[in-house]
Amino acid sequence: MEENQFLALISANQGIIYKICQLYRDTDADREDLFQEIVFQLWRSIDSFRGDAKPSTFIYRIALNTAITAFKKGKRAIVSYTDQLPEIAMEAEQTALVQRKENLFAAIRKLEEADRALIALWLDELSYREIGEIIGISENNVAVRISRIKNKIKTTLTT
Amino acid sequence: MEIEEIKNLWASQPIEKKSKEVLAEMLKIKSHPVLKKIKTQLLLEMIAWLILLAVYYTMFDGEKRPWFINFVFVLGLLQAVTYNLSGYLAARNLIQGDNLSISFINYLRQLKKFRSSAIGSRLLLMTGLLLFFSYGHELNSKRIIAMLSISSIFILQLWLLYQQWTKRIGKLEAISKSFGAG
Repeated sequence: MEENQFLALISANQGIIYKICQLYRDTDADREDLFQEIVFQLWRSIDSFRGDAKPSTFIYRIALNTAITAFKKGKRAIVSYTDQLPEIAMEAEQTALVQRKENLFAAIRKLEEADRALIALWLDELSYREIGEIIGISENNVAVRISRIKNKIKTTLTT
Repeated sequence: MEIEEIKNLWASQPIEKKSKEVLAEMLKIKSHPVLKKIKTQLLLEMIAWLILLAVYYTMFDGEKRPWFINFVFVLGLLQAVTYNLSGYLAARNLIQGDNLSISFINYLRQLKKFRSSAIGSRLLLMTGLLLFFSYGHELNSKRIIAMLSISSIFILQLWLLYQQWTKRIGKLEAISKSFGAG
């Protein structure tokens, strides 16, 4: 695949990489490093993409594989900041929404690496067959495990 | 929180989009966060070993030592250079299979091989250096203590290296099992 085609593919699917980085790294700097590592690994593996699966399935597989096996740099302090001042009159509803999203991501990050991968794929509407192909387990196994993970997340979010 | 709400929250997560120019930059090793550092470190190490190889025969009296001492010394240095290079090339290949389970099994197998070869490579290098620089010197108590101290440091280094590899392999093994692989 030509570099331009590859970049168009990654550009169109970069949300997948972004979310995987959010789930598997704790700091912005680590997420940025992981994002770059995933793009690099995708570029190295792109010739093995034969087109018999959806490009997004291929991207998920490489991104998850990289997120779990790539070396992490030493521990970095968790500093979160934004480049905008908070709106004083921020709608209470919006604040609650942001809080709920943060709670959801925090609950997913508490899961084991394998469970994080399964639930991310399920939340992005991949079929059990596609999830099974990416992970390398049967559809039945996927169904059982997803059901268990959903319960775990619900429990975390309600406690 | 209900499942539908969880799905909606997940789908509405804002994404920080990167331009194609930024993505293109990420394909280069010189801007890679980890490989760039490994490459520089390995290059410096390899240059140091190669310089030592080039000058040891005349500067460190290689000509006055028997051939087998020279052989172990040169072999130790050459294999260290080769091992570093192969380690760098392997560090670029994280994807080892058509699904995550297979990829982890293969990657773990590779890491275990690397653990053995890392220890073997370091051991050979240290043996070569110790043999070469201690050969021909009369052994008195001071020299024996010095050699024992150096050997202890080498052994400690080997143990730390082994522990480092074992920790990483153990962690990946646990993850691999939780995926349902091997």
